Amino acid sequence: MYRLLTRTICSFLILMLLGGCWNRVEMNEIGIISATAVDWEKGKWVVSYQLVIPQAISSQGNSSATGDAPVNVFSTEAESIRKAIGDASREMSRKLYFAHNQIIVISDTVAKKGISPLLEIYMRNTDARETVSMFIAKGKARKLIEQLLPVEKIPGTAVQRLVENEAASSSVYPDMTMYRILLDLLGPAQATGIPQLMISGAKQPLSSVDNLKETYTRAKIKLGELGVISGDKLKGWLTPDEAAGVMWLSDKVKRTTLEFDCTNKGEPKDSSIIIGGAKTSLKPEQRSDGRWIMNISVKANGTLLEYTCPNDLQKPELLKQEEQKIAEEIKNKMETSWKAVSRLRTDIVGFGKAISSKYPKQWKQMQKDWNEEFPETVLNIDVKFKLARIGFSNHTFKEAQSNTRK
Amino acid sequence: MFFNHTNSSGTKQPKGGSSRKEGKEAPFSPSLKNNIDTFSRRLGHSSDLEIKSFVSDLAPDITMSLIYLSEMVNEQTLNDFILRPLMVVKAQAEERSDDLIRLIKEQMIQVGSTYSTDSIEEAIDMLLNGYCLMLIQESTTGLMINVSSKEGRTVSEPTTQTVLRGPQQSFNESLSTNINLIRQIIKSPDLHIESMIIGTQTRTQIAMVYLHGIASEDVVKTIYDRLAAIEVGSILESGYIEALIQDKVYTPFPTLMNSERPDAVAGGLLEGQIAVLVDGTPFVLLAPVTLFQFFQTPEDYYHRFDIATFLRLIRFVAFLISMLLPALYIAVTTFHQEMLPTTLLITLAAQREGIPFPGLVEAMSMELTFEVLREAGVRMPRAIGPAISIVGALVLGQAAVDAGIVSAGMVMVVSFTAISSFVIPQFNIAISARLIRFTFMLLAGVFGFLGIVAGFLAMLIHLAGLESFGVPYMSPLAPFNWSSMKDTFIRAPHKVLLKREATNKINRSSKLE
Repeated sequence: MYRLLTRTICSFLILMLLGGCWNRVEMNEIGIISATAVDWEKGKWVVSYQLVIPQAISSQGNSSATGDAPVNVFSTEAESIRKAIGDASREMSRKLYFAHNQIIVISDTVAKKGISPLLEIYMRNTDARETVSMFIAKGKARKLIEQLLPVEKIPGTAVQRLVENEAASSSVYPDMTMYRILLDLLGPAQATGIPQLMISGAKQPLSSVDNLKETYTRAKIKLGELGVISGDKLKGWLTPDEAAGVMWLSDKVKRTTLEFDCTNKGEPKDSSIIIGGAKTSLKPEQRSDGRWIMNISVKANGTLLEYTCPNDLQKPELLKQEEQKIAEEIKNKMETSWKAVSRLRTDIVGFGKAISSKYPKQWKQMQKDWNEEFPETVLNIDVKFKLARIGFSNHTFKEAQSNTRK
Repeated sequence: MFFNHTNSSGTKQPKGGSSRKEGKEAPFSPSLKNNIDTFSRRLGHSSDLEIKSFVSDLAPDITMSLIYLSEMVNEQTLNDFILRPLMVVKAQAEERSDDLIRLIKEQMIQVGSTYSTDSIEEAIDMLLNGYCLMLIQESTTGLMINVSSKEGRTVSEPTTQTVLRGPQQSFNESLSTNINLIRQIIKSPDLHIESMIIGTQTRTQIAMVYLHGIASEDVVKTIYDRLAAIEVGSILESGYIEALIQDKVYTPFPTLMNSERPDAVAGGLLEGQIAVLVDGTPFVLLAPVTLFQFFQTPEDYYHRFDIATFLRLIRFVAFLISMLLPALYIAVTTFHQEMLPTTLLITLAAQREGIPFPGLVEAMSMELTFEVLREAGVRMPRAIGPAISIVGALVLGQAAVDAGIVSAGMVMVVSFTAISSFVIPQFNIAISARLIRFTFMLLAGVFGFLGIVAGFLAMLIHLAGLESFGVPYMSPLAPFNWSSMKDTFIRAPHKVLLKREATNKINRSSKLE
């Protein structure tokens, strides 16, 4: 018994030497990074970090903490990204901790140069997690992570929530996390779209806590256009309208608000519905002359949110008409973005993926110059929209008012 | 021995057949004075040793003596039922010596339990148990009369194993009361009781209780043999017996259960367990036992099955929490920060700002503080009870956080761990969990999750190897028995359990062979 005990203790002690506590890090020894920005200036990578200052955020502790900036931004530069991160130890008292990094913003210069070095880091390292959301900034990326957001305490987390919220409720931009980008760029078409993050409003950015003392903010962060990446380089931009069609084409619409014109007279589109569910299926087909036809069928349903025409919605034939109009609207969106995408010659809508899975042999032959051939594809769009609910009222407000007068 | 020597050399008149001549057994001397001298010498002339010599009308020429320990007997009984009859009776008896003793035993004494003995050693044993010894001139037989008065509590409410619903009786220190309480619940002739005396100094009476036909014969024999093999000077509590008959000494897990509730013991007996009752303690031992039985309370069977199941599951979770929570906290905060949600990480990091110690030291100091507080709570006099909670909760808890010695999160972890450990109905397994907790904390502080997983596996291996009187400690999980699952983690409705009981009778005999 004692021998066993001695052996256990000895082996434990030896194991302690082997394993040791070498990677033990107390929480007050790490610098938590919530956002990273990557710029390319004068032949060097400039990596900026948004460092969270926990004391300023936590509700616990001294009252003096409130009013302090919740984050601190600083940059390091070197010829490789990883070296720049390593150099941070020369100016930081704490070990930079990237596991909770929420967003990464790259400048358009970096995007045009190619994002492969960045992707390389994310594929190779364990501490950098692939759940981080990526954005492109026009101009200096560092500017964006210097921004403070009203209500939110950690800007990095807030921006990620912004794009998650957007993807869930209006579906104009996809939430491009690192692993989705990797999947897209390593997939058949090797193309993807990354949303632009921009500061809108005043020239003076919101980087001081004092600005939060007012009831309005002069500048705010918002999502701009959709950057189209082909290979690993930025190919061009899609406007929000064009981007919305891409979401429809690539079956990424979850919930979105759609406006339409109920009068049929080309009047402003002042009625709207909310799409509750949508499903796009792509069926590629090769014509005898070698060109591809893409049969796109969309099935969607939605709820009427706003209706300005004095029509009686209890009539089924009228509903059919409206459904038709909405379907047409969806089709228009898809065509608009198809034009933009074929102009950029970048398959971010996933046609290549559809063909490669259905016709693997043909795909192998044409894979090389797919992005060139891709604009030649003929679209055959069929949209079926179903108005599931019209809301609580059968009449417009005006009509209801005139009814009571009778 | 000195007495052995005097008796064997001093008495030349062997009394036909009645005196046994075994090594230690010293016989009485025909001389009353010699006998009285022997007793007062053996008992060290103790002040409570009463020797009353008198002459009865029964045989006016014969001196009689009553020897007893005044503190151990009920003098009222002694006067009313022994002395008075002897004084009042007029009849002149012809009988002398041994015959006279028999006459007195059969006709005079009006107290239930009497018997004659030839051995001084036995007489001393009985004297110490509150018997009164009657000696008469010329006789080598002593008459023992039971007039003992034992000081004891009445049957009261259980204090350590309380229930909301169920009988509110608990065992007390008297062995006979305890047996009585069990007999009151199980009125079956199959309830067998075997008693023995253990301890050369304390001469403690021990009773082994089991239901014949339900308890496994092998286990009964094993326990009996282990009890019989005990050679110690003193038994003060059933904990001694537990330590001396358990299967493995070097394990933090108890392999015997104890209970102060008659219904719990009766329940155990009906399931085939064997109870060991020790005189002088209300805690009755139950064996064999499995790990999962420590999480069951008699109350489980009194409540509705769904409620009982829920409560039982809570207990299992609480057990794991009380063992692992501080270790998990240490591992997560010092090795695996990426596991936490960002906001939680920042909150915890903010709390840890300015804390001078590493997580492990922080946790260790808080856990040790709690253990000290708990121990103080048990040891101190009842009257200053609230003082401990004030010092513990306010001064230590709040001030430690305010002073920046420990983080608020750690205080929460420690308090929740502590509360969880009180959920487990059996104190002895709860204390095991508390002990193991420190090992896990060390492992977590050195190796992180790796250490916790390794430690947990080692613990499971140890548990799987444990046995309690031939029953695997982890059964019915290992070896797996599906039908027993209905009453292990969950408590199935009684209707379902009845079916199990029927099949189990067959299983049990084969399982324990």
